[in-house]
Amino acid sequence: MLVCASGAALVTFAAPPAIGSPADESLWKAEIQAGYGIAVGGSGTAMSQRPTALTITATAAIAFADDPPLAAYGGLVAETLDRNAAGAVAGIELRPHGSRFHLAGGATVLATPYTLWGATVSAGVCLHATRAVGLCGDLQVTAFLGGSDLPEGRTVSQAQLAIGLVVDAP
Amino acid sequence: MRRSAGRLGAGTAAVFAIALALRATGCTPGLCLRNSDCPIGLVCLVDGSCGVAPTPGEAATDAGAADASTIDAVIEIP
Repeated sequence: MLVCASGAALVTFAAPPAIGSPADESLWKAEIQAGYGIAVGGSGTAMSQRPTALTITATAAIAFADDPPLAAYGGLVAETLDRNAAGAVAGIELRPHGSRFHLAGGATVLATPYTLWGATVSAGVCLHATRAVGLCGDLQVTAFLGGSDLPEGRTVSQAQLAIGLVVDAP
Repeated sequence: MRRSAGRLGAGTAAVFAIALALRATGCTPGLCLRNSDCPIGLVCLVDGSCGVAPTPGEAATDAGAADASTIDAVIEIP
């Protein structure tokens, strides 16, 4: 069991059974994700929540360690639906051997039209239709800590459910 | 397939649970959080409304509204 804390809520995931998946042994992978969820900001009585923008992320990851099984990822991110923003993401992903589960942490930076930067953690599972192609579901929590998109003295946190298409290579 | 659909449902339920938890803590829905939540030309103010960006030494005002007390404050009558 993995427990992921997000603001006032605790979300518990049941770890999938230890079944080998192509992602376990792949050297690199590419993924495109779409995420949507809830953002919250402010403090005390001034706290507010609203739906997030639709976040589209395209990343590539390459394994750089085997024990623990770590991969570095990086890519581009765009926000759309009620706005148009673009930026980049980068971080480290843990993909335990013999499990479909993965855990990641990194940074998100939006550069245009406003600047915005923050830290992201995510947890999820990937189910492979073939050895190379799979579908992933993640819960992503991002804390935006600075940038011109934030009102002065305010931080914003968001939780998103992200669905991704992943392509693995040996 | 049934198991994967179940996991997808669990994820959706998790996000829904977060929404309910935030509602229970008294979060006000619909206010702006980021400047990009507001129309072009306006910014997100501390109270969660969209308004004209305050200039140094000037209080923020809501969009389209004139704050008479602010105007009075900067006019010095001899």
